Amino acid sequence: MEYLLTTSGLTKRYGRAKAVDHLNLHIRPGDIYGLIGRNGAGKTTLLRMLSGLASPTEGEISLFGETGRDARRAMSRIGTLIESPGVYPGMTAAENLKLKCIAVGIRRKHYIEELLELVGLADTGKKKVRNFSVGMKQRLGIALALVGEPDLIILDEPINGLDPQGIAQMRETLALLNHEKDITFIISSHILEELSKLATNYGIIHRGVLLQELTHEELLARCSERIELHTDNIRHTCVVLDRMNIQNYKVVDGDTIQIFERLDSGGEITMQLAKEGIKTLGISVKNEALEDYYLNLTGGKQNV
Amino acid sequence: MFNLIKMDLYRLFHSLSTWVMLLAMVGVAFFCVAMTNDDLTAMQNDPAYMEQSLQIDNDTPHAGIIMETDPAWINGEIPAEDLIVLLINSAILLLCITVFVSIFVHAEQKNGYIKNIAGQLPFRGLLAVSRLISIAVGIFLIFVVYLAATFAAAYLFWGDQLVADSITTLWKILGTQYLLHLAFGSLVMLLCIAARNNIVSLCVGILMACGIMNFVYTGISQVIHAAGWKTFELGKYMLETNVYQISGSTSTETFLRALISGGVFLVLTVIGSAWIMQKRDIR
Repeated sequence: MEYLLTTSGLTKRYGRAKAVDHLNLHIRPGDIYGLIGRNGAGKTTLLRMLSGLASPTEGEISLFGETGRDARRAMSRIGTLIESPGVYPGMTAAENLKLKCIAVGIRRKHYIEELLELVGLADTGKKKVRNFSVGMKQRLGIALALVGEPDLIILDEPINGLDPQGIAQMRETLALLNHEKDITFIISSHILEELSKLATNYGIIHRGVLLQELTHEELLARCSERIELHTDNIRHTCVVLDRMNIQNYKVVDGDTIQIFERLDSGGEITMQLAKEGIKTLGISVKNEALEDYYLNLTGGKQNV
Repeated sequence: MFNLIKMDLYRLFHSLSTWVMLLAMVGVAFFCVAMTNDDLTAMQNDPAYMEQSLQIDNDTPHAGIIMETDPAWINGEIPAEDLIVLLINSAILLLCITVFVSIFVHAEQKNGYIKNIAGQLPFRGLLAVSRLISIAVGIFLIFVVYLAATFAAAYLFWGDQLVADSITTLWKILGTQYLLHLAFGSLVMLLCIAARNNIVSLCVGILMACGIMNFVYTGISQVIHAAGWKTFELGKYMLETNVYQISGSTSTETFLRALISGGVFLVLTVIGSAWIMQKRDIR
């Protein structure tokens, strides 16, 4: 089985609006697949369809090599945390986990304690979930997704509400589960730098369309270098760049322009600017951050 | 399926709302008996009031929670089964069951726990069946607590005046009433699942229990009469109408009709709930 999960032309319509538009996703066993997209890009709708919580309007999901009704049966091998954690506030963390253990038929002794230990909630005792912090609820949501030792775990914004220490712990836990238990993860997040520390593959989704799928290595390679130019007259600098036939640039603020092409033309650019009487305050070649790459891909690359 | 039933039962017994509801049933039972006692005292002190009570027409559609006290209880014996039937006929249990079912069913949708399990079930409509079984257990407990508290309260108020005559008839009535109440609970569950909130199910359930729909049933029956079917009465086949009517003096035919109506409502509402759960996206 090359792919653990693929989708073919997956579409979800709400009335006339397409939340997900003919999306073809490819996830291999053992991947930590980072799904990147703005709010409203269609990430949650996609994850809800992959989790079996929503039916696609069109298209097909292939799961563990199965399609149709067989894929539906294979969904028992998925653990999910979609949007906010679904927990009973009047129960303890252990009682919430016990409910899911009963539902999936797990009777192993100390299983719940092990899960609570794994997500860092071992000390919660009889504390009701309504008294948990957002981060604690998030951890409990992840523990619920882990019940039944699923082969694929789908996490929608799992680090929301976690403090920096919690984020680091969560990252370690997910990496551990991925390496030691060979669990495949699909994780959506808008905190791209965090996702880049964990994900092995990425899918970039924008307005319901999957713009790109790439590996971590490919992403690093594509996070292109750029010239960062500071001048005392941005408007006039743009005219000079246009005249030099440089089109792939972005005005960042009142004195900064980022140029994404002809990276070896720094000297030529400063010469041209000097000829036009524009003072170069600074020029350097920098690497593009993941966030910038994403913004460029989804429209931020357009000239301002 | 068995695991889902166990899960819902675990939730039933670990929910604070279940125990609060059962505690509330004790209070409701004492309140109802106290009100009946007040009624008897008023009849004893005011012959005009007693006369007025005797003239109440049970066949006229009415709205509200109404308990009709038997004036013969003032000085004579108070048969326990008659007291129970009177209280159940008042639809006070229907009201309480509406509240219980709305809270129980809506809890899972409100906090989103359903998202943790629904996606992993090949046929998530089964969740409706497991929930109904938990509701059946909950309603059974409500009946038991309410009856026990009613007997206790009645003994406290009337002592030896309270007698148990016809236990066999009481079982027959309780069995039928349990089925009608369970079917009503299933209807409330369907409303709660369909509307995705418990305000609709609470409002509709309470209004139905109070008899508001009686006027609608009468209107529909009159339309059917005009169409030529003169003997048809829609109210006879509705749950709450049967709850008002089933008593020790009810004919076998009425008992049978109530059982069939309860069974049909139960099956249809469970199928409806399961279908919605299966077809609709989980939020």
